[in-house]
Amino acid sequence: MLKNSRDILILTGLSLGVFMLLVLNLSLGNAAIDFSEVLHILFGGAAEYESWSFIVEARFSRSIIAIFGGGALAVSGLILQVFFRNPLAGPGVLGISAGASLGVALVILGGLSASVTFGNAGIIVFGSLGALSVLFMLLLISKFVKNQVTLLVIGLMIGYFASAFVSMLFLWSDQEATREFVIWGLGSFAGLDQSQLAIFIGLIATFSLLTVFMIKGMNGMVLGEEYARSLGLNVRRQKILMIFITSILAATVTAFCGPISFIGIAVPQIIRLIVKSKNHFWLLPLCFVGGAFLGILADVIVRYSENTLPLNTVTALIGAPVIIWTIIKMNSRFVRM
Amino acid sequence: MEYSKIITFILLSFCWSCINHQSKDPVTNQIPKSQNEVTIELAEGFSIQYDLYATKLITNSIGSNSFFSDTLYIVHDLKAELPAHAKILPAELNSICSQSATHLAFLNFFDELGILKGLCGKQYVHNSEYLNAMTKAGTKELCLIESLQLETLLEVHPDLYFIYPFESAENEALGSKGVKTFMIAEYLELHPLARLEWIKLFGVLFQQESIADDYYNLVKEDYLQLVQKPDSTKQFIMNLPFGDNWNCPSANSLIVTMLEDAGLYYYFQNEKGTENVTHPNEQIWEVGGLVDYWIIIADRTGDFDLDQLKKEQSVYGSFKSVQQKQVIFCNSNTSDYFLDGVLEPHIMLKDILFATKQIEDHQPKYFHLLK
Repeated sequence: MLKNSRDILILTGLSLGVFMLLVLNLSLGNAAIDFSEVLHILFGGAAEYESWSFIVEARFSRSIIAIFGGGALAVSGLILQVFFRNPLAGPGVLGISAGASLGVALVILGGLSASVTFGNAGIIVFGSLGALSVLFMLLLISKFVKNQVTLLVIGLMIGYFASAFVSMLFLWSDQEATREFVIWGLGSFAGLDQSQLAIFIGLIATFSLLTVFMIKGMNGMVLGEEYARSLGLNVRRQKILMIFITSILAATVTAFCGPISFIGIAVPQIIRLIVKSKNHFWLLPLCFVGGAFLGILADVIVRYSENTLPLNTVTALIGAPVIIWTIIKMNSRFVRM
Repeated sequence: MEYSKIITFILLSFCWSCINHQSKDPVTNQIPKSQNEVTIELAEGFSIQYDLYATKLITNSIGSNSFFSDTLYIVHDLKAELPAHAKILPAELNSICSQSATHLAFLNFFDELGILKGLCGKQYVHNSEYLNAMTKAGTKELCLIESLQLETLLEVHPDLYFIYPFESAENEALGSKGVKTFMIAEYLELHPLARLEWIKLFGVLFQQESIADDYYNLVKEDYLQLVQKPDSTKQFIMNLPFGDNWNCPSANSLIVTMLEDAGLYYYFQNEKGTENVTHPNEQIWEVGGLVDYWIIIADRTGDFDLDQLKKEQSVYGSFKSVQQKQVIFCNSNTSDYFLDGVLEPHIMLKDILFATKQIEDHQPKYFHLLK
């Protein structure tokens, strides 16, 4: 009970942190808008200047995307780390981000007319299609591959394969297109309109909630497949569900925001470090809120730097030291053994 | 046995290092001196020095740009005293390569596209007249994502290669490989007429000075007749964002000068210098609600209109220029902005004057009001 009280306290603290960062992100910006005016606009009041309503809307929308995007990446990272029983597994390793990149590259670099017809939506549609193609490939392969490490290696290879096509498209494209693709690759929580925001939140909320059905399975899987079977779990179904949910979460974030690195690997590490419980009933929501915290913190830093620091740079600056620390810790554990 | 193999390898290596990189037949470079000496009025990026035995073409940096200078000699008499390793214009210019598509307008003007054997960035050329001429000339693509493909350039081995004044290490290396380069930096000029004046330099290169001079004077006269005084009630902003930022041209830039010559007034007047200035989205979104005109030069396919512009960002609907239908657009994908536009600043100026309703009866060529 004491353990759970501590976890509840951490969950509450992190949620409070997310809320405070949300307030900060809403009041931060180049346009000098009073916070009372921000609230007035958010609650449907008329803005003093028309552009302010768009500015406040953009601030709010990017904050929400940062919260949900960061949360989704952290949850998918946690699930993959359980799946592969490897603390360095993350949404990038299954080749899903690379698949999304290929889809986006086909639009921006390959000149698919969708980018002209649908604008930003073309990028999202093809990014999702790219990620889903890799997902279905993985699901198909997982039918024949029993070993998780083999699946991990296959995922990495699919990632390299997709990246090779992206490189080819990059070489054949003009300067403007390559620049647009590079900017997409830097990652950003900005730029989604209201309908895209609704789809983004809808997908992430739905698939994050679905993880509730995996809690028992994940608790079993942590101790190995044999142990999970002994609990009466259908391990095969559990594994497919795990790949499916993580892929959808990672694909959604990558397609809408670009390939955002490190949140998916670093947050589960930090959460495991500060939380006593091994129960995924606590770990899953803690990871979501932890990812949301890191996501919006990264966005605040990006905006505080007046967009001179790209999102992926900020997440790398925060995430990379955590990963290095994890590797050192893993290594020292092996040395002790 | 092993020793003999090693010795043979070393001897072969010596032989390889003795490859003679010099051309077998040195060219005769005497070109008769022109009767029409060119004088430079506005351009700051090049100068021409005449003497009895040789004409010296010097291109150089402007203002605070990183320093560079390049010299090409046109020899009229073999008595000319030239520095060691001087670059000499061949008597017959049979093949040239260019690092920029913006040089093509000058070549086309003198009907010299036929000797263009290599170009960096062929995909930026959309004009069918230019494309046909390049196909006829067998112009090769020299670059892959802006990076020079050395083997292609060496295979073409042009008499002269027009280059940008950056990547100096790479360009020096080209000289040591027998490629004669000449820096052309017309894009650094701060006034459209100054950029146009580079036609005189090309005129000297192709020995057509008087044609170049006449054209320059004609356009200058036309342009200056149209010039208006900037009116602070007609403020404008420029271009579109990249990601979360807008790269706005400096107040000193050539394009801003031209727009001010059309009587418009740049909102970021105080941002001098030669480099673009970056502004976050929010700042421009606020400014957009205040300024009357929005000038966009961008690459868009199909018939781009105000609705499509608003689809890119709904906030654009709150821009005063959008609400008043005063968005002036130049599609770099379908117009010759980077080609003939270099030689037609007077037409561009007329386009802007027409779009801002200061003149009537004009058929826009580069800039038009978005509908």
